[in-house]
Order: sequence, then C-alpha cells, then structure tokens
Amino acid sequence: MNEHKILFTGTMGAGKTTAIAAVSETPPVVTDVRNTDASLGKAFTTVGLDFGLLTLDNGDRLRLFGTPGQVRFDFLWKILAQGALGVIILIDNSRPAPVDDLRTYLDGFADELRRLPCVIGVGRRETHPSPDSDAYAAAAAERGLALPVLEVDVRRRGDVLLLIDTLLMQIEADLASRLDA
Amino acid sequence: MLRLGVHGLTQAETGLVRAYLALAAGGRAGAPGWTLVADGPCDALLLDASEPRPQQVLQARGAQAAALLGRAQAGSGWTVLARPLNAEAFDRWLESCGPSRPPAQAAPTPAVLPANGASRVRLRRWPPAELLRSEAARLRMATVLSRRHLNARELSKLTEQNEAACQRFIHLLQGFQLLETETVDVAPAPAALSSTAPAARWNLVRSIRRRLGL
Repeated sequence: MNEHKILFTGTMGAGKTTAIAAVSETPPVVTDVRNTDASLGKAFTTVGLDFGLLTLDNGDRLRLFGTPGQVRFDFLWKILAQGALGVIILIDNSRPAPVDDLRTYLDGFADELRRLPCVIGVGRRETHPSPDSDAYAAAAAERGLALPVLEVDVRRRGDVLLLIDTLLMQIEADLASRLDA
Repeated sequence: MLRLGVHGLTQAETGLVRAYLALAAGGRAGAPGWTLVADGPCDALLLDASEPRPQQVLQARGAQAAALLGRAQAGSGWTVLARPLNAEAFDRWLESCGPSRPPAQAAPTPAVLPANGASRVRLRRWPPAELLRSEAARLRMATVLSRRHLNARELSKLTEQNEAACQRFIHLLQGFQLLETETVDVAPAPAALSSTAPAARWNLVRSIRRRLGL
C-alpha cells in the first residue's frame, strides 16, 4: 500500500478545511500543536494541520493535507511538499490584499513550483469581485508560472473536485511529456 | 496589410480583436490582411461607443472607416457593433472597410500555426476568464498548455478534443499573446502521446479519478 498526498494551502479562513471535508471519506483530522519553544519568549503559537483521506481501489491512500497558513510555518510547507502530487492554493478574495497573499505562497513554494503541479482557487469572488482572476494570473506570470486560476466556492463539492481534476490534468500533461524526452 | 486601430476598448476586448484578426488571417483567400495597431495612424478604427468625441479621434488617427463598439445614439450615423463583440459582425464590418487606399506597411498579423508538428506552443500566462468562458473543454486545453509545448494535433490527443477546436483555441490564445512558441525539427509520432509509461503514475491518476468520479 502506497501513500500519496495533495496539499491545500492558503491563509486562515481561505477554506482549506472546508475543501478537504468536501471530498474526504473521513472528517478532516485537525491537529493543534502548542509551541513551547522558549526562544519565542512568552509568546506561544498554535499550529493547525488538518488532513483528510481517500482510499483508492488498489488500496493506496491519498491524503489531503491542509498546511498551516501562517508564513512563519513555511518550513512546514516545504516538508509537507516533499513527495506531494501537487499543491492547491486557496485564496480568500475578501481579504485586504489577496494578490499579495498569493505571492506569499508562490514565493514560499517557489522551489517546489518549478516542477509540482499547482492550481489556484479563488473564493468569495461573488461578494468581493475585485481583484479579478487575471490579477492572480499576472502575479503567477511575474514568477514565470502559468498556473490555472479558478473561481471556486469550496463549500461546493463540485468546485473542489474541479480543483483536483485540474491538478490531475497537469500531472497527465507532465506524464505525456516524459514520453517525448 | 491594413491597420486596424482600437480606442477605448478594454484589454480583454483588445485581445479578442487581436484573436479575431489572427483567425481571419487563415480565412478568405485574396482578402486584405489586417494588423492591430494600438496607437497612431490606422486604416480603420474601432472605438468604444462612450467616447465623447469620436470624430476627433477618427481624424487624429487618420482612419478612413470606423465603428463604435457598444450602444450609440440612434441616428448618430456611425456603424455600431454590439457588445460583446461578435466574430461574424466584426468580420462583416472589416470586409466592408476594404482597401480604400494602398495598404500601408505594417507588422504582419500573427502567423497561423500549422497543425503538422512544426511548431509547438505553451502558455506564458493563464488566460483571462472571458476567454475560457467556464467551458470545460477550454479549461482542459489551457491546463495542458500550461505545462508543456504542444501543437494542435498533440493537444487534441491529450485533451480528447477535435483537432480543429484545438487549432481555434490556439489561435485565440495567440490573439491574446499568451503563448510562447517552440520550434522543433521533428515532431514525435502521435502514438508517443499515448499512455505507456511511467505506468504506475498513470495508474495512480486513473485510480484517483475513479475514486472521485472524475
């Protein structure tokens, strides 16, 4: 039995847990770890990491990992990205600077995004239409990336499936390119 | 080569006009070709209907023919094209403009890509939503083109869309200047795009699709 994973990342409130819950066969498991590192002084922080599970017909497992959204945990992002099939970046368009949010994750996963498939899901556009999806495409293009940008509502299972479907299409395109090499 | 100018159109509409010109370039034999010029002199001009002084703009650009895009006052005397810009209406208007004077020197319209594997293209940037129109087929084609260079035939095999549709979509993307081109000497045989290896990864993707009903 092999284990595979897809990462869901994005700011707090962007819908990572909701997205995972929409497709997971089990309720997402949320793990909170209190940071007791004395070097941080009096401050303590909570790391939330949630994951869901899909069992495939050959017995393999597909884990859906929701990364902690805070930038200070970007070291975890890189660890979680190892061996991942791809990354789904969820953006909350109602935040003050959502394109900057995207840039944070594009930069945080910069090394990984040179090879890993990635899809950007923009939520809350119906109530907050600006910025439009082209702004996100531009932010990715600044970094030499042509990443799919999809408007989604992760409360809808169909929208989450579209994100995963698009990720799978990228994997299929990569597999086909290896045949030509 | 005739010059089509635009004035006051959105970036998306300008891209659409460029795409229509690229499509038309592969169309009527013997018909004059058009190239898009954003500024400066032009032979025909497409203006936003809300422009308060269209006649002045027309004179400043030296155009011999013009049309307004959008909704204009009745009896204004202008040719009006409705929004969103329709390809057939646009084409009819261009045809009516015709070569009223000897064609001026201008940059050629983007070349029509041959579908024989001589050139492959890849997305430099994800297309605007107006271009994808939430159509599953266009999303699929754009997604695949975001990962690798392909010609229309290869795109057709990977996306299971007919080759003509893939060619049209590539032209559309060209019009929006979203593609980078890779020229190869020898195209791989189409059969090379079928899934034979790495088998484990293909099986995994298929398994995930089955599990999720995709």
